[in-house]
Amino acid sequence: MRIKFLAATILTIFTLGMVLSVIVIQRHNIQEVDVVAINDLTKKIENNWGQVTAQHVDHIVSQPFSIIDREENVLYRSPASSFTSSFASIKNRDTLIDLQQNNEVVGKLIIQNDAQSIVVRMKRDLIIAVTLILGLLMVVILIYLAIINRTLVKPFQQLQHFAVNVARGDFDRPLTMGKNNYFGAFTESFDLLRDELATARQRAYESNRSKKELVATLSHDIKTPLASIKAVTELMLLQTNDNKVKKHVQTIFSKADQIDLLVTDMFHATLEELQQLKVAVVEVSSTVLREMIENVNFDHNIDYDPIPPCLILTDTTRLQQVLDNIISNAYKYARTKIKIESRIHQDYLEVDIIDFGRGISEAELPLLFNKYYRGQNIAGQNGSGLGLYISKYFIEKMHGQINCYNRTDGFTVAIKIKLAT
Amino acid sequence: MMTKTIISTEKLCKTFSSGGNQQHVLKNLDISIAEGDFTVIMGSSGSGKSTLLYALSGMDKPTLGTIDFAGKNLAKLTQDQAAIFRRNHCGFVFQQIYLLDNMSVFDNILASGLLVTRNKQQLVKKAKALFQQVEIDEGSWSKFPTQLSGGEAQRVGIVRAIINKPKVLFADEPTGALNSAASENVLNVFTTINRAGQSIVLVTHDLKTAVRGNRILYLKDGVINGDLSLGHYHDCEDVERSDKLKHFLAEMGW
Amino acid sequence: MKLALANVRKGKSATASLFIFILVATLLLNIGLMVITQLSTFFDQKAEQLKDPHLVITMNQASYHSDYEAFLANYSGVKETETEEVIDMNLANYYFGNGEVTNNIIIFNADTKRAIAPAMRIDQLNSFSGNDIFVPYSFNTDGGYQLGDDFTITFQAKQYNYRIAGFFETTMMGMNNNGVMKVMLPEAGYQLLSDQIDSDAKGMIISVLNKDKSTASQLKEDFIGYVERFQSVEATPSLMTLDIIEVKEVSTLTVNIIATILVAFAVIIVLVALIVIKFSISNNIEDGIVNIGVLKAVGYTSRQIISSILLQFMLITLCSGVVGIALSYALMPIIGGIIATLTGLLWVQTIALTVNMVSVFLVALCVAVVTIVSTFRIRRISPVHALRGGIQTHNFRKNHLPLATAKGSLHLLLALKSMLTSSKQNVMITLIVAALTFATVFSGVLYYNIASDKTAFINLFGTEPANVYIAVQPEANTHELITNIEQMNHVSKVNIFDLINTKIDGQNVYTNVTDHYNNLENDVVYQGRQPKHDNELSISWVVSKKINKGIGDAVEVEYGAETASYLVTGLSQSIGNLGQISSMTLDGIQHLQSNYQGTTLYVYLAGISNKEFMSEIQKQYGDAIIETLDIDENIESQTGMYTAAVFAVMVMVLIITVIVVVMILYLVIKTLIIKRKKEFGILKAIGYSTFQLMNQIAMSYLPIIMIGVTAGGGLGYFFTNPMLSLLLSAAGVKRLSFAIHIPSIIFLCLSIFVLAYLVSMLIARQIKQISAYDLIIE
Repeated sequence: MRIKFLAATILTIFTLGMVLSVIVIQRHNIQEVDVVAINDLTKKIENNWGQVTAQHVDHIVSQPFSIIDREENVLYRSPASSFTSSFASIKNRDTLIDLQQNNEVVGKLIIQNDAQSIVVRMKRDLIIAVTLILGLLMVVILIYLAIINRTLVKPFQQLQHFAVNVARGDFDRPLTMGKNNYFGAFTESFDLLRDELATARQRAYESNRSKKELVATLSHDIKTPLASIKAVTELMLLQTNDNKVKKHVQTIFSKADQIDLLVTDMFHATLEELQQLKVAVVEVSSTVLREMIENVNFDHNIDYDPIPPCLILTDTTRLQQVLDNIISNAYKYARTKIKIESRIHQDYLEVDIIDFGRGISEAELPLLFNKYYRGQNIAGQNGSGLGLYISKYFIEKMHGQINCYNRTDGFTVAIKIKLAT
Repeated sequence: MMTKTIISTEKLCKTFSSGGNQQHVLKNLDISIAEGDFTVIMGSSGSGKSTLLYALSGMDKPTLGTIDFAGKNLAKLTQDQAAIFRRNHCGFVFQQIYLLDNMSVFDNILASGLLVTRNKQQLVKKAKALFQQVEIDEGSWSKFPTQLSGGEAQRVGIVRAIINKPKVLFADEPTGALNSAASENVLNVFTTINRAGQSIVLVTHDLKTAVRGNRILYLKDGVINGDLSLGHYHDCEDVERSDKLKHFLAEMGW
Repeated sequence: MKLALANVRKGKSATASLFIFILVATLLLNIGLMVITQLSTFFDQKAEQLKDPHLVITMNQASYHSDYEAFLANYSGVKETETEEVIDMNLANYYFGNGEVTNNIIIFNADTKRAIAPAMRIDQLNSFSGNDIFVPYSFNTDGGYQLGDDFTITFQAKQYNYRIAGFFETTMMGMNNNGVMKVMLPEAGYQLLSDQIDSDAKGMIISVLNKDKSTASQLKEDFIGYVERFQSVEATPSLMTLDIIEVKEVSTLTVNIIATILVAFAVIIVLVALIVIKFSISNNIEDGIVNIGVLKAVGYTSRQIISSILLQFMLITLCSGVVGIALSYALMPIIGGIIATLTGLLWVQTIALTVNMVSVFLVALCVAVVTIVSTFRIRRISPVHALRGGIQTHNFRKNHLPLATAKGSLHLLLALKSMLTSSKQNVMITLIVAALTFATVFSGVLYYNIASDKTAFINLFGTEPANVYIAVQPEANTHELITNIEQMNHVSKVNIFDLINTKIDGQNVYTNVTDHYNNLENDVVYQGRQPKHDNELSISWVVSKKINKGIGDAVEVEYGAETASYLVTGLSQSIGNLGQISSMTLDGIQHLQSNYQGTTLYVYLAGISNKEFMSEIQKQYGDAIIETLDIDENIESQTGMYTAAVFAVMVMVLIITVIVVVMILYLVIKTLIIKRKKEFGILKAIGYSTFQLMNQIAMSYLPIIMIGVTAGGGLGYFFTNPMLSLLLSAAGVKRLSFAIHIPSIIFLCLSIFVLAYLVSMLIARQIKQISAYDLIIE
């Protein structure tokens, strides 16, 4: 408020000063006598002395005039002129000029004095001045507004947004501080708060993750001794004839099996939590399949028709993994051209990946999607036996199906991707 | 009775992307609309009703899929081809009415009609007849759209939409901005022209409006969730009909 | 603040265009102001820096007396004096620029030590030879000489050949229009020339440095009086004096003209930019009216909203203002180069923070005013109103051209309808287009007068554009000769046009004498009129200022031994002869010398080459004639450098105009079409094709643009001259009347029109990309 008062005072003084100075300056203005025109007139009259007509003298001077000779006889008078006597003219402050002929005065030219007032113009000037001052006034107000906004409104708005961000859990946006911030310390403590919250959350996340990793490693490690136990008990089961012992061993075996299942579940669960097997299904256009195929179409060994346009439910990264896997299998084991056919059938987009190799034996077909299963034709090929297992896992998570079958001329993997509904 | 299909779609999809986000508004729709039907598209807000309507009418292009409308695949038309298609085969009624507010009511009609015909006298005659049909009295013809009441304006909108005898009249929440009395008026107009054989596709979320249709499509999250055949509308006293509709909608989770 | 930033982010393209306009406005304003402010002190600073004398007096060595220097040294206010020997070639010829000029050359000894005007060399050769010469910098900038070029002086029918070994800067005797040129010879060359030359040409020069340079003129008068008293009356020596005040007036005149043209142009562009800024700000606010409604509904006060809008525009203004100023510093060297050409002095660019701040401030002020005016409505509008899309901008009292009855094609009718309903916007476009056209015509007229038809510009120099000059033998009968020449073939008229030396109220003034001023082609009087009667005369404004007499005052004229009183009837303008010119009638001068009959004839030719006529007249009346001169050629060599410099400025002005015009047209039309996006959406929805819409757009804007172009063209036609004379009178040019070439104006107008058409088509094409659905849904 004090600033406002100050500004107002300055402005008032300023304005008053301006107005006064303008008034003082605009004061005098006197019309001058047009000597040149009068000289012109005089010369013209002298040159035509004795026969002056309107034609010679019209429109040279604006004021009315009369020409008299030495005896004050009027020789010529312009319209609106009113000569009575030379003394009357002198009284009226008229201009009297001697007319000469051969260096001898032969008469007088009398030009009437018409005084005028010219106050009107001054008023106009004043209006302009006032407008100017108002303009200045406005600028000062603008500056004042800007200052208020910068020093008060902005920091508060910033603080508000900051609080919203923190509440939302976004700790990454620091609170910036202007130099002229009235709430310096206040703002700073807010920012400290944000920093502390952010580090605490990060730490919690880290510790959680390391725990899960430990579980995953342990559960995997447990499987090895468990496999030994199962093998030994199976052997014992065959060797012993004692029914009582057999029953006990049977119990051991089934319990070991149970542990195996539990550990596997735990392993999966933790892996999922660590996002290794996570599938996030979204709706995407089937056109992404084209890109996916192109991504693995290194030697242009893949022929495919346009994918029917539709919207599918899938996780693009996972689906890409599946395609990579199937196609690299085909490359590895069949080493032929690959053909991809696709069609929309009922609620699925069916994609068949077709190779022209030897295929696999019918007996192996059901096992193909098992974990760690590797076919008979793997000679010389390395692999983990996990590929198709994971592929199946992914596709099923996407609400799709995966199948494979032998044809007379090769092997087909058929994927059914669910259409978005 | 063999009804002819006038519009049919195949795996119609519409995706809006803003920034990195994609939003699939229509998903793999296979719809067919029969000639002479009064098809009503319902659904919760954001279910893609309007998007479907504008895709079907060639106003907007689908992202994927085909739309067969009067033997043309709308998905393949250029903007200008689509414009010419619209002026010949489609009429539009909008919730916001969208009359051109820099010209009079009558000129609004003619601006649309003169696109198709050069016969001014006949067009003027036809326009007058239609005005009478929708009960817009002569005093309003020279008014500006902003001077009309909402119901009047919407009826003018309908006249504009049907002046060129479109194959299908598309209406997007035509009563959405009107009070109930005005709505009733406008809906009667729809019923009348439907009875005269005009195919209508109408989007609404209003029961009173929906009950006028003889086929209700329920759209949910971009998918047709339900398809109800109601039979033709006779009068508002038909309680059984509206109960059937209510039951259907309840089933749809409306 | 947050609100303002958000607005900026939202309306990116609007912000960008506003940014550009403000940038251009500040850029031009700043350049104009910098040139004006720095130019006024430039000459003085240079004089100080070079330690140039405030007064130089040259006289014959024979008439020099050592008391003179003593008088000057003892004169109160004098700081320093210096006297040295020089060689004074009072009528030497040399080539300069495009032609040969005759000037007084004063040759200094370069190896003499001197305290006053030690001649700073800007550039010199590394090796020296026997015939080296040092010349003023203007020889390089205007004269077209390079280091090592040959330079020949013709003096008393003898040729002296030199090689230019260096250029130096000087304010006092470095320009052709001072009538005196200072050059320097090394010791050896100087002595050699001194031995060869006639003793008449051996002179003395006294340089005086005052404490206050404004007293130089007074000192000069007193000194001349002193010398006259000192010498016996009949042996009054011929003194050549030059004081810094008069030199400054003459030297800076052309630069001032150019600076003023530049500033005038800048002001026009700034005005145009302001109109466009107003346009885009109102648009911006109109577009955001719904937002304003929302804000109001949530509880923001009008003041808060307005201040946020104001802040938004101030922010843009500040940013682009700063960029504009930075750019102006990048452009200043070009202008500096032009100034160097005109003054023969190196332009040194300094940083003028105050001026920069003033430019930004002025633009910011304008933007603020415009914003506040535009936001005025926000106060009155109720939130409900704003939410509904704001004020009804159209007024539909009348349905223009009802389609049912009106004749004509549908699209033409629709176009006309939309044109007739948006009158407010039409006014705006008309204004903008008119302003743009005016700016274009303004610069086009300038360009035309300086590049193709130079008459008006050359008339500024006060030269009478006759074709051949004839000096008549004093004994011959001039009157008879005139009658004879008038009867020759191809002669359209002959005028007596003498230039004699008189003293008016004690000042030496070059006086033109002719019998009828009406017969002259170039009326140099800008106020009042030329003398008609024998007791009248006109004087140039320079003389008027010196003797402090104006129109209607009587002056004493001294010629030979006679003195008479005359009435001043007019003020004239001339750049030559130090601007000190007066004009009298033949009758008038006969009061002072009754047998005066005139000795110089100006002949105006038609259908014959000047050279041909000159040889013809020599053949026929050779004995009555001293010499003949080709005036056209003379004018060309004298005015060449000015026209070249102004030409450069004009090219720049024209280029900027074209760029600005194209840019503004583009942005304005773009804004307009985007505003009508919804309408086009509806039309597209009901089945109008892009091509049809494009036609409609073209047809609805072209009539308005046509009106704007016509208005602007008319304004340019009628007001270019008055505006220029008004502006240039401040620069010292009192009279200027540029020819307005109508075909070129029509051409310019047509180009703008075609340009507008192309731009609107180009933007209308963009609508093609948008589907009807997007257009109406937004």
